[in-house]
Amino acid sequence: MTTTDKTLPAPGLRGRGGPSLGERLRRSFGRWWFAYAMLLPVFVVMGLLVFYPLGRGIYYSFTNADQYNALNPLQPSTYKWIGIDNYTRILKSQEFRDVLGFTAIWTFVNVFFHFTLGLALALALNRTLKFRGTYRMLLLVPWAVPSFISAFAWRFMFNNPYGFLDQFLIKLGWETPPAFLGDPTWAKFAVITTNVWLGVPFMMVALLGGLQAIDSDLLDAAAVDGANAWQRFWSVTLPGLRPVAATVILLGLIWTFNMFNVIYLVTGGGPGTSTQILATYAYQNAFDFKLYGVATAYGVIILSILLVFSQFYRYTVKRMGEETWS
Amino acid sequence: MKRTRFRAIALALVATVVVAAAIVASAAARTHATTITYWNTMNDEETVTVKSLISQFTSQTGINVEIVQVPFDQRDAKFTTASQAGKGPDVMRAEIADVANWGSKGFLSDITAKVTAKDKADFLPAAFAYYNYAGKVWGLPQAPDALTIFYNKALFKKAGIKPTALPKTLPALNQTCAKFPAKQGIFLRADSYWVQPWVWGYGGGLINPATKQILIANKQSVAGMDAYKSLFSAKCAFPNKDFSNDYGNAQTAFKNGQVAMIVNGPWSTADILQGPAFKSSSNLGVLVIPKGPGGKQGSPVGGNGFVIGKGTSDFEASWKFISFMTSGTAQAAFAAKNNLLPSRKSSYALPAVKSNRLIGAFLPQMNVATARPVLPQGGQIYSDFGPNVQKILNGQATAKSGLATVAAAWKLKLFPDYTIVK
Amino acid sequence: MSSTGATPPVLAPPRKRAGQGSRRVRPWYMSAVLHGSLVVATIIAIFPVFWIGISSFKPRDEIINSPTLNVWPDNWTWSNYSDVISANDYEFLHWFGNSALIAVLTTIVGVFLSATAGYALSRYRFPGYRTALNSFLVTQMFPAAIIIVPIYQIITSLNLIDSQLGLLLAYSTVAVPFCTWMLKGYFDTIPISLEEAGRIDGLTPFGTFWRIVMPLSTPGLAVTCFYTFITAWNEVAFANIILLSPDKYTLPVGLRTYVFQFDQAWEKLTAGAMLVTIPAVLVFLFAQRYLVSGLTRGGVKG
Repeated sequence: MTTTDKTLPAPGLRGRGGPSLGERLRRSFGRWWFAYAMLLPVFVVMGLLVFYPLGRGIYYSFTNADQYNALNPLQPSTYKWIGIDNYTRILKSQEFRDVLGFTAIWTFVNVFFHFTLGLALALALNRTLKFRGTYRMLLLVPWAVPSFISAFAWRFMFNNPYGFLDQFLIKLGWETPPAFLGDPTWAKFAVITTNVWLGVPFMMVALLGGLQAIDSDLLDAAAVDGANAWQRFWSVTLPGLRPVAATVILLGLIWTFNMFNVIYLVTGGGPGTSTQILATYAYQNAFDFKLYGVATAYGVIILSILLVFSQFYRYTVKRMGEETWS
Repeated sequence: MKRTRFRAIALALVATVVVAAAIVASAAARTHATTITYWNTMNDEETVTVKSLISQFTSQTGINVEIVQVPFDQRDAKFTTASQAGKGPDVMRAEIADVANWGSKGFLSDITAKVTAKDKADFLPAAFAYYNYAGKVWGLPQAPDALTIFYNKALFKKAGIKPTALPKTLPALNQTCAKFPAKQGIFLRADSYWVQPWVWGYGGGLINPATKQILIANKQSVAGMDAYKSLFSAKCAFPNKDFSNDYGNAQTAFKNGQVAMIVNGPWSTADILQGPAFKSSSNLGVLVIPKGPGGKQGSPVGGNGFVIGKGTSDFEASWKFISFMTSGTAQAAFAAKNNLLPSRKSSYALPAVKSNRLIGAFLPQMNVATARPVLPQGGQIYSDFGPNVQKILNGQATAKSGLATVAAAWKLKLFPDYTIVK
Repeated sequence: MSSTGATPPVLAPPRKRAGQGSRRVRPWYMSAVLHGSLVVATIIAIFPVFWIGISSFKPRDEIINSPTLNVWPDNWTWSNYSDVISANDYEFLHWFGNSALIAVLTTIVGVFLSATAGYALSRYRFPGYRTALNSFLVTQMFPAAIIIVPIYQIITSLNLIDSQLGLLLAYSTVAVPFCTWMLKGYFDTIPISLEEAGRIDGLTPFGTFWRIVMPLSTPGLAVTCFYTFITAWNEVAFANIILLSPDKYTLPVGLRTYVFQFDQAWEKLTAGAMLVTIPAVLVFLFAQRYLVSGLTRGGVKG
């Protein structure tokens, strides 16, 4: 693919070399005022509602803030700075490492299925097909139901022995069907299945939108050149999808890593702690006790893991030739 | 030209938002006579009773009560955040563990001055204990409860168990269970709250605030946990493999006559009596949870009551409301329609309560029930207790190691200055 | 993903959408496989929702007591729906109105903010570009359950507690970073040459954005609209904490009150779930035609 300059020239003045910092700032603003203007509203809202709480959260993670000594306007704040105590305590625990392990499995398995199933469905729906609109609408339905109700429904479907799945398996002849929510391994399967069911429609729609942007002339040209369906897919469709796919996969990974609802409502992290992911573990271990210092320390740990991961991800994608990320 | 268009659109957007917000804000402002807000956490059937009581109250006193339905599991988060913002309700229905917690954080109004000595004496001590914290009274109990064993009389008869031969000790309970065909004796939950009667029955405990000790990992507690586990995995016990759904599953199995005994509280009788096996309510039997081998007996006292928020707009009106809702009239109504136990001793003599067979059957259980320690952290012990009990019952941990983990977690997070008793 | 270097700008016939046009007729067995797999996928997608829906027509004890494989109701009833809608003086309709207001406003504000931000991040490599991009990503990384406390405090200090505006603010914070990244991805697929042509024609920067890029990004915008609308329509965690008066409750918050201490009002939850899902599906139906590429609309090939 030829690389073209994908950026626009700055609207406004063109500066010359050699000015002072103040001048350079003013010139920079003059060159890029449009970009700043477009970003300003977003940043004001973000700054107020996200960055500031984030900053405060990071500060609390170095203190022993809890429900009795902090954040209660009706009582004096007496929390103290304790340095990295919260962090060492969290990172030393074996249970933390087990939970981290499952969180990684949970994230990658989920996004793998979200992407492959979503892509398969998007490709199928991208063709002229009878009933295409109906299929599309029906396949979007999991997204339309409030997720806490879907979680309840799946929790009931996995019920042992009264749920639909086990009853169906008994009918098929399996006398003691699995206890999906009681067995540590099956429970992992159950929560992953529920989350995949919930997440595929979004991925399908996002990729369908991305497929629309692929120039069909390129596909036709490839067909004329003798490429079969698989080769066309691999050398035209996938690369064309890359900007959109790279974005939604990264966002999907981050989003799944922190997915709270499904685990909390379907298994509560159980049985025992076998389906805890970091987000729910942090909730149960710290937030539930209103140990704000510990909770925010977990938050910072999660944030750090995801930041490091996203840098690694972007590096990998860049090596695969995507200019967006440079 | 384009820039003005941009500005126009931006202005239109801002205007839309402002107008919408104004509409919404003005809709919320109403003029009202004395109205107090009451946050209700009860289920549908009990809320019906609440509403009829409220209309009685309003016609008697002229005070309007605005009832706000709050999901039970969200009540702490909502009440805490609302109180901190100064927007808490006038009256809140609190679970017993909430009272010390909220009181210690300054969210509640002190009602010590309003509660007469006669009233104090009238409330059941086990129930009222939770509403006393730091020397002050913070609320009034509405309906105490305790876990007990429900049994299916017809199934017991079929198994040849005479009404006079009901088990009086926990080992005897195991033998009674063994008289039933496989999987039909008892359905035990994998929930730490439900395990407590066995822990107490074997002489163990949770914590002792007076001596600042954590007792959950001591020998007797471990023995109690082992006893529970052996009954849980016994051949006669319904195989409970689904820990997320086991409350509903126990009810379903019992209601359909698939299992002879379950452990549950008075709040569940309304649901049980809708089951096919209990079309005739006389088939439902209540059995006090038996003693352990050492003669100890216990069942956790739970329940709900009413508290007044610190920022209440009308203390007097709120006080009148909670007095009414815990008066004999109200208690009789809850007893008759919802099988909730009254919290006042005097209410047990009322005809509506006396004629309720189930409530009468519950009284012996309430009399030997164990009050949990009244501490702000009282409700938070289950966050670590729960998962570890699940691990023990699942075979992922032994009773000894599982309970040791619980004790360590409690010490770390809740009671740093307590000692763990081995 | 772009054209092959300098080609003189000429008007060309509109591009065909990928998937249409001069293809061989699909062999029957391919059709069968295609339809077959789509039918299987649809059944899996629909079944839990179908189960919720069919349960909403059963009376309460039938949902709980009868064996689960009895999917079809023995005693078909509409009373769950009438109970849910008419409870408490038709408060359900209040919930519905509140949800609609919040969802629509969030979608408008959210999409507008993320489109402008996404465009700026897609086209301009200004100083601080990378920080801006990263910061949007970072906002997604803090688990919602933990950040809810500081956000709640800010909203309280702005005195926006128990107000729809506060909720709108909270939802925008959640939706905008995500949508900005997504829209940036979609904008990246639109060739810059079209905007350059627009500039040559005398359009301002905002003009090229509004008149050239936006119409061509209808698929990306449609996805973003779906996502923002659905997030606001179905969200329950923030709404539960921020909305305190029942007349301000949104639908999910209202439905959450059917979950009690020990059990749930299944008959009401299922009926409520259906009533909440249907408008969302209608929004999909309306907006899904915009999933068609805008590139077919009179593009200048160059």
